[in-house]
Amino acid sequence: MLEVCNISKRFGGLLALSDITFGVGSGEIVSLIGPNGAGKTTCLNLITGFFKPSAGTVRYRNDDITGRAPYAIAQTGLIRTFQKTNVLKGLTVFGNVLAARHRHGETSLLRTLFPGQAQRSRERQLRDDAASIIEKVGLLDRMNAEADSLSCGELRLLELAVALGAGPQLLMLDEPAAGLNTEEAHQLGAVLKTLIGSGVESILLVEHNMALVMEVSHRIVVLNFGRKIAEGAPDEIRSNVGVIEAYLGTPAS
Amino acid sequence: MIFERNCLLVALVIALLAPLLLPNQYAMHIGVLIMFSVMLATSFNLIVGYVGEFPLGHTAFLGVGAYTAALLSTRLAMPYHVAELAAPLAAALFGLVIGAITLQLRGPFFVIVTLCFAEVLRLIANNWIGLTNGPMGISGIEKPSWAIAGDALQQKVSYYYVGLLLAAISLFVSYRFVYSNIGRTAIAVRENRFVAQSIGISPFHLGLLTFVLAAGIAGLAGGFYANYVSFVGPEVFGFSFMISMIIMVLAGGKGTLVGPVIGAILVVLLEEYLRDFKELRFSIFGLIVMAVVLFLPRGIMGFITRRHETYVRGATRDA
Amino acid sequence: MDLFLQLLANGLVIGTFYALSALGLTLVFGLMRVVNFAHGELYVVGGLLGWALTDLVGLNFFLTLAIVIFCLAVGGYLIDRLLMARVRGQGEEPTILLTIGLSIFLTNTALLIVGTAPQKVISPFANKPLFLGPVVITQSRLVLVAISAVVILVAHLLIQRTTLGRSMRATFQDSMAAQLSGIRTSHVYGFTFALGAALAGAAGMLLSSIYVAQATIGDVVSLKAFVVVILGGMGSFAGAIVGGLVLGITEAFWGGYMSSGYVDAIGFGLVIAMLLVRPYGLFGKHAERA
Repeated sequence: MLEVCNISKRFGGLLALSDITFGVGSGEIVSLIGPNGAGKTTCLNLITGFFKPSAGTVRYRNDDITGRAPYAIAQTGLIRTFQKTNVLKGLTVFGNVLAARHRHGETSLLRTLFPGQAQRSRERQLRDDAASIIEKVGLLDRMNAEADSLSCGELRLLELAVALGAGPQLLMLDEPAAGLNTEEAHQLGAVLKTLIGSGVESILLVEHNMALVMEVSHRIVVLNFGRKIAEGAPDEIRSNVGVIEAYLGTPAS
Repeated sequence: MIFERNCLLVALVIALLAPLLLPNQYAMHIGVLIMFSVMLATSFNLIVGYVGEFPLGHTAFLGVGAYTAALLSTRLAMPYHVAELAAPLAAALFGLVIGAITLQLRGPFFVIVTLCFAEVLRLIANNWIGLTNGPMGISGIEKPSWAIAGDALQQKVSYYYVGLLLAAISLFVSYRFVYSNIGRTAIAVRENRFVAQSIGISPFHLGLLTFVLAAGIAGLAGGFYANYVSFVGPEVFGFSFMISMIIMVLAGGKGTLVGPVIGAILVVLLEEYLRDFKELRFSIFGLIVMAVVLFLPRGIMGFITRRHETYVRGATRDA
Repeated sequence: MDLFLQLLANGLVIGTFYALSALGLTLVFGLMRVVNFAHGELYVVGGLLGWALTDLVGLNFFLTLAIVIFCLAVGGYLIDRLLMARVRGQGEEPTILLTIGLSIFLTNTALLIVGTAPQKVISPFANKPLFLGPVVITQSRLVLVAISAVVILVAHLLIQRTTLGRSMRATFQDSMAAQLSGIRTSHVYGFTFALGAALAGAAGMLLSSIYVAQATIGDVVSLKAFVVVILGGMGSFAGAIVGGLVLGITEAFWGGYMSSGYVDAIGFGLVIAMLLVRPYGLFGKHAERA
């Protein structure tokens, strides 16, 4: 579904990513892991158009989306979240998810100014959909709370709800488990697994939480210093020497 | 949303009854100015509050509307309703072109480049004597039949009601825009550009749509102004209107619909009170702008809305 | 050919003046990332103060310059500490609005105090025309170009060579690191703004000996300064100089060969073109595109 081919990114003199190639298939959860500074978020930014690659291509459903504007890429079904939780702070939880579902609402200016029955029923559907998404992530009791009054964990759920609201086919999550304890991370993993097949086709996960990664991933891609050093099923990666060295360093000899 | 709508409806009722309560020429003149200012403030507020940028050259659209109406009335002898229809269309067209260029920039660069556009238009108005009569301006704009029927008071009342109609249309359009799906996406861009992009919203296109709408409303105001004052000169692109717009929106409350209305009333009254002291007036305006930025950044209406929300939340919590 | 050289000379002269008047603006932006919309008004204050001291009080030109620089520096420092400091960190919009409010206040207060009549700073340099080949230039203008060059050089040395300058550059690269190494960053912000204000006031005073000191010209000065710094690149010293010269020469040639009514418009045309093609100007470092 998603093919990343030989992408590189150079920031001035720094080569942040070098010749990265991997793919995400339909129905898969793929995790992108690696020590801090390995280039995982940069990779995500390149795929979703927030940065332009210095070299290489990104293909989504056989369509070359390299260097397209972020909003256009999002409209094809590639929805991402951010490492530092980003939501629409001045709105309520409900308002956030409503905004996310904008493509299912009224998009014509004329009908906006003179709404008819069709627009009204569309709006009602929008609100129902938003409410059910909020329920699915478990924020129903905070539905009318202001986004800036939510706790850290709740904000993460809201971010997920917003991403889901946008109707993703390929959902890309940047460290969704950051700041969650073991129990919460486990719950998140369960939610992610139920997403596949109920609207979301695939998930690309950038994560540090190894328990979560091992639990949910079909495949894992490992980056270090901007290069791909391994790719495979969780069991293979768990015992891969190169990966262990990348995280823990080589023993002093 | 309901709160704002109710406030606006109450304001509308009061405005409709005003000529019965204050049947004198001076009050009606103030009323006309207030209607004009409400349109300007609403227009400016759409960009400041819902695109999140500061177009210091917004008088460009006021001026385009005014000159369009003036030229159509005098050169082509068009009746008022045609001129008043053409003015917002011309302004919206300029809004499309100027917006397409300026919305590629952000922050102070957007501010400066919009100012440059307004200045260019002012220079053109000042120098293209063949079209605009230069600094002498276009005068003797013919008033429509309803504006010269009856005595002086009735004429003013006629202008007042027309102004009220136009202001109501402006607010209606803004209200529909803001509390709609499109409006939500505009607010999303204003709140967090990155999140908006990541859910498929194009900040540029949305900003342009809002910009064109705002330009149209400013043009509407300009056409009305041209006919009421019966004269249009290059100073319509100038800074004096800009200062008023800034204060109306900032002090009233940007990003709300009622805020600009409150701001417009305040500013018109303040300007009238200090009518003989132009420099003092603007000096005070400068202080007000700074004070609002420092101490009341959400303006009066923003402050009231926040208190209202806290009150409602508290009431439902205790209930 | 003679006309060409004369226009070129005119352009270089006025270009130097544009560069001087824009320097404070670009420095404050380059160091503080703040666009000071009251820049033109600070220029006006410098000019009017210079007029008051040389004309009404009868002080010496250079002594007046020193006093103007000192007063504007103090004023700038206070503006930063009392106003700008309160909204630092809240993003761009509050500072933009604050400086716009300040500019409105300063313009109209100046109008209240001094009135609309244009004034002049009394200069010890004669208006005697000098003939350099086919080119005519007045002595006072030539001297002023020289003084402007000196002021620009002094500002450059101040930023690059002094401890204060180094503190400024450190603070604006990384204020946390600067604080940790003992720099009083709040003072540094104040001094930077003071420098910007002092340069604006010095330009105002110097140029008001040739042009006019008038309470209403603040907007025009600000606009020209914006054009210069956008052409040259916000925050770039060399950019302000090059931008000023480019603007001066372009205006001189446009005014000389084409119409003179739209001379001001050519600058705006350049700005619009520049912002579309190379938004960070000829020498700037940050891309400010959406």
